[in-house]
Amino acid sequence: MIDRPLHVEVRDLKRFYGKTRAVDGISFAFESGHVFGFVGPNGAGKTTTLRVLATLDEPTDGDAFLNGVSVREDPEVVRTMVGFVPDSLPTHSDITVLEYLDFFARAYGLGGRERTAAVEGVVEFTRLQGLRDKLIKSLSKGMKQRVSLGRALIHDPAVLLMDEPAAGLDPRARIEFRELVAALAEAGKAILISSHILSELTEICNGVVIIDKGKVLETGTMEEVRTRDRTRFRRALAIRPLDRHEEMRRDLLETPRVEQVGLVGAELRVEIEGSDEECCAILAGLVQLGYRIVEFRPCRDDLEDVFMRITGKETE
Amino acid sequence: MKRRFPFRWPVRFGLNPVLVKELRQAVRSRFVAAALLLFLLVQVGGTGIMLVVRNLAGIENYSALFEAGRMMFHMLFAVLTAACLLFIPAYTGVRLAAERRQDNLDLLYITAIRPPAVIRGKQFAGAVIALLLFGASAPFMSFTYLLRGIDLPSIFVALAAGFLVIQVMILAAIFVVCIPASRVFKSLLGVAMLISIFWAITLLNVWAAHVVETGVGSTLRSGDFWKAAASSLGLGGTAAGFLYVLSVAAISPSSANRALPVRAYATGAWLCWGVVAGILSARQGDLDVMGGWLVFGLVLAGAGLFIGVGENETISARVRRAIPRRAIWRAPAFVFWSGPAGGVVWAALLAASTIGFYHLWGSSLRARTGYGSSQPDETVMIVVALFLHLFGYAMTAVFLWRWLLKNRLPPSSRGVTAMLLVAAGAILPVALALAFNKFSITSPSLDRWYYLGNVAAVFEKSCRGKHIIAAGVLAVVMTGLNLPWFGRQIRAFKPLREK
Repeated sequence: MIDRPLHVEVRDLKRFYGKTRAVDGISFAFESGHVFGFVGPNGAGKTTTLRVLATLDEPTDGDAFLNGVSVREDPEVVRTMVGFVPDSLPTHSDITVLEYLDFFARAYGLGGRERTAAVEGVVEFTRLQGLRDKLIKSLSKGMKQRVSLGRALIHDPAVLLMDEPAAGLDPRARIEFRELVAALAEAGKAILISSHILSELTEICNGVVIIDKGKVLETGTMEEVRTRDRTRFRRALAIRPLDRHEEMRRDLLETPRVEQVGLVGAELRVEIEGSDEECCAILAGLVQLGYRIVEFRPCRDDLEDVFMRITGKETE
Repeated sequence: MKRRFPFRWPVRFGLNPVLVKELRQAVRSRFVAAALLLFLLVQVGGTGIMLVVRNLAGIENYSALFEAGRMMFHMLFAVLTAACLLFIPAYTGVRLAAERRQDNLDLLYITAIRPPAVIRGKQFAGAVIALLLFGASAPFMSFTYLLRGIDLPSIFVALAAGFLVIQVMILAAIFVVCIPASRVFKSLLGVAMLISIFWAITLLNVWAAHVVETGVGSTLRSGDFWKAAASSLGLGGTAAGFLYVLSVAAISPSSANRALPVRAYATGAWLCWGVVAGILSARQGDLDVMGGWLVFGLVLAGAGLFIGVGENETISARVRRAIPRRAIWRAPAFVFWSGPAGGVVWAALLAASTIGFYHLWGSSLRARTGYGSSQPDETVMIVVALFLHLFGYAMTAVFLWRWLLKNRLPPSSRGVTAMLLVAAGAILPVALALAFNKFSITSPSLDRWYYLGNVAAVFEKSCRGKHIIAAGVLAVVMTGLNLPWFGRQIRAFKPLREK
């Protein structure tokens, strides 16, 4: 468990490689208990940002702070607070799972019984009991991913950074991985996950940072992003009338602000441009027309929708 | 299922983690196992062949009978040193290089482990593998004693020297891998290291042959043996120490005060060797040892100057936090802390102190003993001319960077530019003279205008005065032009005042 809440702040971070601006002045923040999805197309600057946060790379300009401790100025202090799961899996030759975890426990300064307890703790948490004496190179991708997560957790960091952790995992491994992340969030860790599998992030994330070409397009909790998105863009409603489906579809299409209406089973999916006010007005109008409505609800956009709309808007 | 988390534990270091990991991997490594087996095979084969050949030849020459142990020792020592010097530094270097790849830095470097522990771990691991090979060679070495013609102290002294050289070479390999340079530059250094390894193997074996030939057993009670042993240990230790502090600085975060341990160690080594050289010079009544110290001081100052000018001007907040608040401590801190201006001042002070002390010591020795009436002044003039040249070129590199290259090249390029200027100073004027048909092939004299920029020409007595004036003018003018650069850094060297 985290002793006190931890605040992670990325402030105008820049990382240039020659003329290439991998990260070009991004800013966002998250804290303990948050699971933030770090989303963006290939080459957006996700891995570079995570590497800077993990102190594997140094920023060209700007900085990131973990409870005020600068990644740039005090990388040694930051390292004790951060656990990093890179996109590349452990490739250490001639070393067993237990030795690998033991080495990192030693490297984080754990000694004697504490080290044994820490190694046993992560072995149990990541369900590696049966693999402890196996050579790392002989493990499957999913197993290696668990070892990588175990290594990142060995010093009980307050912040966990994960770069494409679910890439290449089979469905079972993904479900297990999701459970592990949920357990870690419950334990109060601040988690930043970069992933291409947006549907998975929707299930585990309560916040998101969307970046493209090294710049942040959108950031905040999922609710904040959705709310901001709704006020500016279209929003979806699901209406289930008891009868007269086709008639209601025609009426809705004639209603101002209604952009699209589709019939999916017994439900009408309506896309409108507007805020909660417009939703209420539509419902009132339908009731006034004598429709018997069983269900009227806003459709929650998942991360995929938000991402597509925001990056689509940027492209336009 | 209930899940448990490891809680935050108090930091406590036991065995070096890198050492533990490296040894665990070495035990399982097929490469190490193959190298060890090959090493044993060569020793068994070599020993067997030597014994069989000797038996077939018969005992006709009684003197040859008493050389059997010595001959076998030569063969075994050559195999041991070649195996250790070729295999262990390469093994350590390649493993470290794989961990420190820019695109895939090993996660070990983002743990709480400190750079000195990483370097020590790699070094100790190399030492343990060397001990493993020495251990595998021990039974064969014992056998040479039984064959006669060699004494035990000679065996131990040769082995100890071999072990120390191997340690220095392992550290050199670690240093080459750690320095933040391009692959091309590192490859060149790698080739240079390979050549020096072959040199080391040859010299070590020639020296060991001499040692076992003369036998050190009888000299153990004499002071000469211990003097030689102490100076060899001291020189080896100093070199190893340099490689260690430089490697640690190279892998430390750029925000750290990386120059401090290096400059502190260099100053300490310079002082210690100065005291030793002074004592020896006073006892021997000559300046030979002090001359060695003078060269050592000049090499340190030159290297410090070229490395120093390449440092970043911006002092990190972390370094600023460590700047002393009291002005009296801030002045020496400026010289030792990270920063190019501080580095230049440190190098200039070191060179001036070395030359000044050598001159004073020489004058005092001449007054007391009448030793070498003109020698001290002659050597001092050479060293002054050399350092002024280096200083002038370093300051020119800073000036060029400030006015032309600032937006194109990083500050670290200034050191390389200074080295290129040294080469250009030797080549370009000669090329110009050739182009304008002013180059004289018939007269080989170095007293020509086109040799004034050539550092190597300062050894020619006839033109040394002109060299000192020319290099002095360059150094003074360039320092003057760079005064705003110095001023900015001095003004910025203030402790950080945090809210």
